[in-house]
Amino acid sequence: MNYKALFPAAIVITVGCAGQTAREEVLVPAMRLASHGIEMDAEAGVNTLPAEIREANRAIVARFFDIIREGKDEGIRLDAIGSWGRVRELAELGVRAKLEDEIIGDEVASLLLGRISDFDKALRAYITRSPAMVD
Amino acid sequence: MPTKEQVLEEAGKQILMEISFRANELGASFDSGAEDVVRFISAKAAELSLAVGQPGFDDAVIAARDSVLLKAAGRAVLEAEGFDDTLKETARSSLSIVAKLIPLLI
Repeated sequence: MNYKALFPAAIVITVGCAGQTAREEVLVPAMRLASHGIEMDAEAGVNTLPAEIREANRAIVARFFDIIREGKDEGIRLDAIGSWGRVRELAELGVRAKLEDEIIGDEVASLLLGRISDFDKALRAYITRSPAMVD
Repeated sequence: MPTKEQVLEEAGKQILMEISFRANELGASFDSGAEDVVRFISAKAAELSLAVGQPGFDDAVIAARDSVLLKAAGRAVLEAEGFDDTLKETARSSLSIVAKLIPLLI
């Protein structure tokens, strides 16, 4: 991102636009970074599902994280939001599966689940202005 | 060589200093948001200390890093909504501080 190129636009930018700029320049990169670990959790969750529904769920997960990494406002608001509930379930399922298989310890699981919850709050912060969403 | 917990705590202090500096420039109060993020970092450091020695600890460190970034970024968005466009610089600075520390956390 060439921030200097944004300067002339910043002169006329409104407070509301500042929020959108923060979303695009700060929140999306943070979600993009966190997406890698959460996708691994969700894939672990997919692997616990019955074979007949596994591929459909794998596609939902892949599509969701493609949109997040793409970082386009329309995709996040119109597409990713709708599938996040399912992706979150799968990610939490994956963490629990790894804990049961003793791949991770209980405190590690707590931090992984915390990341999923924090991603949820970040996604809500992306689509809303309500301070309660990130408390 | 600092521990990972110390690195996280140091990140929290640096973010607080950066945000406070920007808030003073603006003549605005940013304290509640900044303290919120610092408390969050401290909590994650405490959680990490409990996970030491457990299988998957490295994943826990990455998860804590991600959580801190998500929290700081979410707070930055809210503050940018309420104050001035200049705060997007603060938000970016906060994120860059943590980003510089990422190699130490992994």
